[in-house]
Amino acid sequence: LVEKPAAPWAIAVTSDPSTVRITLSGDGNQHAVRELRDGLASVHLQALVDKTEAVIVDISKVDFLSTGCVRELLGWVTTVVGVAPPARYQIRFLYHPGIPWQKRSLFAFQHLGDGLVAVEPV
Amino acid sequence: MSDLHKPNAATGSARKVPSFDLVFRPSVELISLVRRFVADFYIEVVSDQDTASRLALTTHELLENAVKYSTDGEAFLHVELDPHEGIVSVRTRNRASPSQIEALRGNFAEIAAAPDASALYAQMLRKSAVATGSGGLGLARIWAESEMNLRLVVVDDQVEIHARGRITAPE
Repeated sequence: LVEKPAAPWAIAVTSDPSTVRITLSGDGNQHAVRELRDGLASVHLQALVDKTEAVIVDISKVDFLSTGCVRELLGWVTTVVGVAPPARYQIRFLYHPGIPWQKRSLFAFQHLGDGLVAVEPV
Repeated sequence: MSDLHKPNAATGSARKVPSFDLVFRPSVELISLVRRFVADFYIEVVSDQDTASRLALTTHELLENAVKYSTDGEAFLHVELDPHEGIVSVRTRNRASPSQIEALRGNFAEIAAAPDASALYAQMLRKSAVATGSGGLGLARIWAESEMNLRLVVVDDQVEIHARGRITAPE
């Protein structure tokens, strides 16, 4: 095997008065799971305090998303679905249109989000 | 008779096809490294990024499964591509305890009973959303997203999972 440098996992969070944007990038392997869980929990709490209208999760720069990471995203979506309106915020997932696995991996969330989740090309 | 794969013996066809065997003690870093290697290996044989990503997902999830269920930390990986037949297959093998083998048998029973891959994956996602650590999500994801059929072979304490699928764009 010839080692190629793996793109490091990274989570960047930016916000404006109505929207929070989470940009994920790199290799979403098992090591990324804890950081993703903590990051989503932190964003969720802040979004409730700030009365955020929508949280955008951009996975267009993610090389791979392990099932552990999918499970964390799923847990977060489920948590948001359980929040009573009007505190509940919308979730928009963005994928790279040239990377088919990203759309496939996100597609299932649309059916679990109780109309709360949108999946769109970046 | 054992249905376990013999290293260095091409399966499914007498014809020589691109393949490799790997025996190692997987870690998170090594699984990611092998996943990228498998994707690159595939692209060298059949230039098709989408199928390469399906193969990468399958390899990664099966190796994580092997780590989860291995009793000695060791895993065997076999990858075989047949561009002429349009078939790609991945096998992982590891030793597992009786309780772990039973858990895997349960996962495969759910796969066998499911009406289709999408239905099972949706069901597993719903289950995972309310129960942490519920098993089988990775296998359901392979079936649904990689569109590879899965088979479990158990011989004594050795567990082998076979994933087999079509190459999207055969040359």
